[in-house]
Amino acid sequence: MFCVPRVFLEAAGGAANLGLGNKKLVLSEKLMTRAANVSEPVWASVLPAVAEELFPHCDGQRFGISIGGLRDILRQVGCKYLSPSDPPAAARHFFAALRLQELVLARACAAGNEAAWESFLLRYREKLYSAAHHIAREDSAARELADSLYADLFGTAVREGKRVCKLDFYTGRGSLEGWLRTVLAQEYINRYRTQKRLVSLEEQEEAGEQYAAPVSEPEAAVDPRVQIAVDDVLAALASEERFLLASYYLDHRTLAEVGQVLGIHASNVSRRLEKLAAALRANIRKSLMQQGLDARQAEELMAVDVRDLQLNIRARLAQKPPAEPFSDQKAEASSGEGES
Amino acid sequence: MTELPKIVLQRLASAVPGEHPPADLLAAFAEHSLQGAERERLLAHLAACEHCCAVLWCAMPENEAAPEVVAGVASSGWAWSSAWRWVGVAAAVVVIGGAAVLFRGGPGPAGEEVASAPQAPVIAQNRDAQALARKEAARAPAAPVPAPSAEARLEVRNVPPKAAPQPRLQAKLEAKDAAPKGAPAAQEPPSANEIASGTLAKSTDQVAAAGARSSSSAAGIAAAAPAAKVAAASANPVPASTSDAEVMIASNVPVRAMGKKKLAPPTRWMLSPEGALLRSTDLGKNWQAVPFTGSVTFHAVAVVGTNVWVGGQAGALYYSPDDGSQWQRLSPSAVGEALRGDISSLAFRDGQHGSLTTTGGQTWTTSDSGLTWQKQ
Repeated sequence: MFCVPRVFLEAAGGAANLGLGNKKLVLSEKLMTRAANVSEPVWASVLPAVAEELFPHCDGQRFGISIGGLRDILRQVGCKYLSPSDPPAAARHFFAALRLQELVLARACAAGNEAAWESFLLRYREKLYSAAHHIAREDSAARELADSLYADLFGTAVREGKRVCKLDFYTGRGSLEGWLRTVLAQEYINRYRTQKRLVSLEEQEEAGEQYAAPVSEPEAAVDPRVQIAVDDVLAALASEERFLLASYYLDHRTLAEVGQVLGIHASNVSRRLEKLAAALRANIRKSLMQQGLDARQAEELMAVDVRDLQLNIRARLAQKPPAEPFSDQKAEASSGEGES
Repeated sequence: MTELPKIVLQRLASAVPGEHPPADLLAAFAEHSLQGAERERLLAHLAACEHCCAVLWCAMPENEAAPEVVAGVASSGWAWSSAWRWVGVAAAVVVIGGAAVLFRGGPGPAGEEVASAPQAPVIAQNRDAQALARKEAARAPAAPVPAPSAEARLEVRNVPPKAAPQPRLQAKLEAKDAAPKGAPAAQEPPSANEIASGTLAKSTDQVAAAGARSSSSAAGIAAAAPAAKVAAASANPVPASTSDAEVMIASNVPVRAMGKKKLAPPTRWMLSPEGALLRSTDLGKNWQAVPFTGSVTFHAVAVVGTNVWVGGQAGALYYSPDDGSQWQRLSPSAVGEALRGDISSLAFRDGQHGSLTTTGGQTWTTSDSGLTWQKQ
């Protein structure tokens, strides 16, 4: 099993798709072969030793997974999250940090091992229903949600003649319980959207719903210099600071919730937000002054349009795209997983 | 919160959060397991992607601190005040009874009654400890200990469903109308077209409204569940019944310690998701794994006073009579047949009498703390 970087696959596929004839196709096949040979990740050399070292601690024997099977699982996870050029020491550290027992349990379940399923149900059945209830907050909806996930976990879906088991997508990065909760949440949100997309206007009207024509508001005229200044300042923020602002100002989460996610106390979140707001204001003023305005003009510009300034901060926060993809193999993995 | 003007909504609508992270990265992030560049990338994505944020918030556990709060309330403060209240009542009864006897002035039985009076508080105290445990068990499910995160959700979601949709989502809704037809479609999750069509704005509000409507009761249920678990495993006469699926935290309140001036924090017990036994001596702030020889996966723990039983994989069963200081391996067997199945639950009604069940459906009982067992 080789990990072929997406670049090579795209290059090879691109040549084929261009329809340049058999010669090109042969070339692309050669390219593929060379890519496969070249692309053996640097870290792959540690896989046998790591698998042997970790095997006694992963319950693999109990669930019918051999050392070779564990090695394949680790390779698959490594291909998803490690760069081919990552050094063996980093890979060793990465593999040691995986939730190996839960990973092996999940993969054994996906393979249909009876003992694994018994253990899985014993450990996670109640937790799954409890999590579903927490998410759906209503008994029948929670049960339906959990049951639908069970169906996916059992692998009742068949894609291209192959049974698709959702547990195959668990990679041991977080706990299996946390992963199940997240998958449940994704399913719930997707399902809720689908259900609520269709709204009967007649029913709504019978229920007394009235629809007013939307009133178009005049667009706020924002000085382009302010926009530039805000863009510059936000671009300089750390991602955690942007997340902090987005969670609090865009998603309207409480300090406690934001703190829980970031692993800090709510009072700490509050302090950081205050500092951040003050720093943003100071930096925007500074940026405006760098554009040729004096201090008084900058203050006036900000004072005149403080509301729009704050709102534009939010707009730019939401427009900030992530710089890099999460993994090379993400596209393949998420195609079956139904990720968010 | 301040309403967003249309110009900002249009800009928000053009947000491109990029590739969505897989579920296990979100789960790892929520558990603070991500570090370095990976965490940075995920945070950057979350700052721009309301869909992943919604999943993240939705998937967060109800309240991590709830068991601790409940356990603390159930096992220390409330127990103390209530116990002393009962002792006070018992003492008052004794004093009144003694006074009545003295007023009557009769010799014989009345004199004996007076003589036995000093013992009454002790007896009452023990009886009250049992009553206390019963009350704890009865009180726990009904006591809605406020769960901070649930309250927070209520606070967040307590907005008029139609008047104030979530800003980012509302913006998407409005922006879609205003977006130019030829604009390139943003990279979206599988159902992101539904976000763009504005359904999420509406549906999320309805989710929010529903959450607000039901979150108080849900919080009660969620908070009550751990309370029941803790109470069930906390004191003497209530059967200490735990299984991996049902009970994760157990604590003990030594009844004897109630007479001391300062009560040491009760030891708490918990099974980790990996099936390791964890112990906390500081009210759940820090947990230490209890080492056992070999790799044993536990599925159930039961606590009665200082007696602790823990059972799990392949009939593994250990017992500690002294709050976990020393452990002995128990090997249940009856009529030559040894217990080999996985233990799924343990239930003890006192220090001697209890039972266990296996994943195969077998039930074994003991009346001597687990030294000998009978198969049912």
